Amino acid sequence: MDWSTNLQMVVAGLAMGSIYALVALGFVLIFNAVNVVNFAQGEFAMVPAFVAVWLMSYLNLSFAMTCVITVVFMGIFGIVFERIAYYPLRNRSFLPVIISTIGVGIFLKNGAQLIFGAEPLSMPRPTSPEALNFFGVFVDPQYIVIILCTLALLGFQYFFFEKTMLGKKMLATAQDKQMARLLGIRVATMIAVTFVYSSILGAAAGILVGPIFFVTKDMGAMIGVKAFCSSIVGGFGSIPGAILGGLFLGVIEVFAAYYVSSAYRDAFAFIILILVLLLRPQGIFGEKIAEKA
Amino acid sequence: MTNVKRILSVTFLSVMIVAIFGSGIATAADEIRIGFTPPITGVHAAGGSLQVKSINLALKEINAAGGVNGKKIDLRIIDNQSTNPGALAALQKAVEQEKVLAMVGCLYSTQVMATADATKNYGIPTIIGATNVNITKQGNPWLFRVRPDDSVAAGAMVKYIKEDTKLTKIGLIHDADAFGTGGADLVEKYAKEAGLTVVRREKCTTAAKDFTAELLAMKNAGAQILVFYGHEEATALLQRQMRQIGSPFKFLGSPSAASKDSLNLAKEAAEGIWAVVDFVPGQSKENKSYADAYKKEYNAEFDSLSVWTYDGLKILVNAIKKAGEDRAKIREAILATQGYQGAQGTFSFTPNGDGLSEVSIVQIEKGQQKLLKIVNVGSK
Repeated sequence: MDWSTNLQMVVAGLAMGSIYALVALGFVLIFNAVNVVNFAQGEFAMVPAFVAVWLMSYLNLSFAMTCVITVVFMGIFGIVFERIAYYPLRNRSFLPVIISTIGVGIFLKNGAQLIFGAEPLSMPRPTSPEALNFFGVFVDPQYIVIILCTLALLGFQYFFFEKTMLGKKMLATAQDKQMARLLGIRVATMIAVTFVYSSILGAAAGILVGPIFFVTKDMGAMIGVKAFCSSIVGGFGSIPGAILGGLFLGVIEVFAAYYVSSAYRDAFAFIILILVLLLRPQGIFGEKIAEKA
Repeated sequence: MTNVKRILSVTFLSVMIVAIFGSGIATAADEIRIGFTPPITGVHAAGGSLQVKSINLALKEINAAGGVNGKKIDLRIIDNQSTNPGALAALQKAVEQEKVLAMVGCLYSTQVMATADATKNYGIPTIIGATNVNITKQGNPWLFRVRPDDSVAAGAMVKYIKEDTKLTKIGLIHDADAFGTGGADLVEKYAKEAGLTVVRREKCTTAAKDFTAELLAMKNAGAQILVFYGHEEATALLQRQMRQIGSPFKFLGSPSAASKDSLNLAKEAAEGIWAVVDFVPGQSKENKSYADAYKKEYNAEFDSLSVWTYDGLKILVNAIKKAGEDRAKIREAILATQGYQGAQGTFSFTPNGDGLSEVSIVQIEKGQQKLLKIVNVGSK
């Protein structure tokens, strides 16, 4: 097959994969901090997408202004989510917390339908709708924006966790809460900050993906499930694993749809998930340690 | 004492009997009863209320024009509760209690199928709006369809591609559900019969988001025109992403492609695409006068999916005018209806009872449907 087709698919796959990676990171960060899978993670991308559409279409704010307000909104949303879904249950086992995140997810989805209606909304594009032509390879500029923004966020994250005190405190909390508490780190605050950060990653995913796809109440479910697969394929709990897993899944999906069958596009994510669980349960990039604590 | 009682009761009974039969005779004399079973309650209630509005418009016009040979039409509206058992019960009530002469039945295929046997047993002429192809092909002589069936759109697509665009290589993408698969199967079948090639066929889920792979597959297979059979959101996404790869082929969509929802989503990406629709609002004199009358009566735009009740009642009443109050003769008169100009288009009944075999091909221009051609696929 000619190289331009393959290249075009790589770009589309990487863009989709970047979105999976951002949401998968949110999964992993919260899992590391509180040992619970947050099943409302997909909705963390759906809510900001609706907020951004509302700000741009009804209040006619500029794209930059919308981004700032949406990120601040999602920061607050993260704290509220933590207080409602996690904090009251923090001393219970993981199961009630998981169920509570599922509950909040359902609430958010139906809340969005109640407020914004069931019809999909279209988010104004910050980039030109015309494709860029690189020597016969047509690329949606928004795909490039998605990939660049994701790279920038990952760079920031590396800097944040490795070079700043707050980041190091968060990492310490994630690794060993007891030890962190003994060292004088405010564990409850760190957990709240983790939720805030994870919501902001969702905001980035929602704002980036909104303009190419439409904003619907169900968009979170699709992204959430794929991101969950990505984090397991990459190695659950591993930050680079979540990123690489997301990119890997995004690209595989497009190629499988082209070369094998587009009807089973979504099935490939799960086939890979099952294969990984069978052959390499710790994930492709995971370490062979069952429990960190 | 007993005698008095007996006389009283006999008198009372006689009065009752005269009252019942007398009133029956009285109505039969100056009115013609027609039954209509829309969904007044249940999940389809919203659509049902629009069907009632549309048919009442026809009723008002017919009775204002003097009815049928001096007799007014008395329309008995009975709720089908949006369910199959409800539709059957409504039909039984219409025929056995209300003693209607003929019926305007249901819009949904499943309810028409549920009541088809009873309709046949009663032998009552029934106008229907359901579009499942098989309904009129099961040897039931009493069902008369006043909307284009599902095969008409597919046939018209292929006919338009062959005769008007002169393109020969079709790429086909469709939703994997019953509607999309059924439509795509017909497109492929008719394309083969017309000597066109389907160079590649791909299916997608209703929730599919990224069509890069499907579109590139079409491009590399050498498709000149992409036919899409699916729903609103996917149609809009496809149109946008087709632009992203440089629009290497034309686009012809199923009716969802020209729907308001889809155009709102696709916006400028929908400019210039083609789509097949049942009819274009305002395409004919009859359609315009329907739209105006509807607006005057209800102060709202009409609903495309309810116009069939208007056309249906008028066709039925015209048949009664010609045939008189005899069900078998009414049936023949409906089948003899050829070239009738209705609000949805030109009706010419086939022996199977299919009244409308034409649809319109439109092009999207500035977010509006522009009529390119009315395609009649003829009797099948």
